[in-house]
Amino acid sequence: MNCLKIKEKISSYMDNELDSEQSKCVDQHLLHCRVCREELKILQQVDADVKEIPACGPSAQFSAQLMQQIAKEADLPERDGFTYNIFVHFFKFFEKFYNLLNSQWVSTTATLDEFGDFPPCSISYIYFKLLATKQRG
Amino acid sequence: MKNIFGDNSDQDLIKAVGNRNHQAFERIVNRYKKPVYNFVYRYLLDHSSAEEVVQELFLRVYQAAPKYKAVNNTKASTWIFKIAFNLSINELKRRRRHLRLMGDRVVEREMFAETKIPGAVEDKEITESIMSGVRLLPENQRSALLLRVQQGFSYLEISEILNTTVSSVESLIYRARQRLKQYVNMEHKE
Repeated sequence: MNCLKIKEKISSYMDNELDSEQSKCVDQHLLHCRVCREELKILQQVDADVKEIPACGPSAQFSAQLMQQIAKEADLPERDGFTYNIFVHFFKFFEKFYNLLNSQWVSTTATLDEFGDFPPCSISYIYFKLLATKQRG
Repeated sequence: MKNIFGDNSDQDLIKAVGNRNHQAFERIVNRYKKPVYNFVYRYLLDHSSAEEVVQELFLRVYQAAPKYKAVNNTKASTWIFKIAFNLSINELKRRRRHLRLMGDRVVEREMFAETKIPGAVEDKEITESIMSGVRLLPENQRSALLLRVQQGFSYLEISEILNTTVSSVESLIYRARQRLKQYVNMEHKE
């Protein structure tokens, strides 16, 4: 192998990711080639510098906050695949819809007459119909 | 991966977490929070996002633990880092969507600027230089290099985490090292 090929392999050689034959080739080449030895030394120094980068960790409250969330999670019903995935979206939708119907801001919003362009029997149509009835009542 | 986490079997701990054993979960958290945080932070370059991602990661681990063995046969460390990597990618995508909406380069600089922990010890000059070099690497090269050099994963494990082939991991790490070498040389000349 020539220097160009060796330089391409040197990174994997450093990581012991070459097969034994290739590794032997690189070993032999390094014995005779000062330039490639220099290249290896530089890359090893780069690695050493990367390892020197100070490690950082999460904040002190991290574990406590996480365990709180886990405690909440444990209280929830078991999320067992199919049933959960099918129904959770429906539950979430109807929960939001129910909250909308009972929300406080409705009484302070602008006139409802301007929202008359929903297709009949659509959810939006039913929603505003209900609101209008509520207001009249 | 090198045995940097001690001799306890991660598989057994994950199995126990699957049976809703909170002590086992705490041990998993204590074992992995620092290396995973370190990886996610170096990938996202932002402490608050990294903390959110790592928190989400452990929630996912807790939720998915009962299915862990059934889904695949990979090592627990590889599995955890794979989830961390996927969540980090999602976070980057979210940021980019936000940037497109904002259409402001200033925001980009602010969002990708490295935040410092108050009171953190100032790094040495050489470490600063290599840190800037690592920060400037493309994301895929950065993640492959950090997984190899800092976390000690094999190329095969990295390929599983990054969802790519072993040969592309080899090439990513090679190019990352070459770039860093050039960067350090340039810094020395200046």
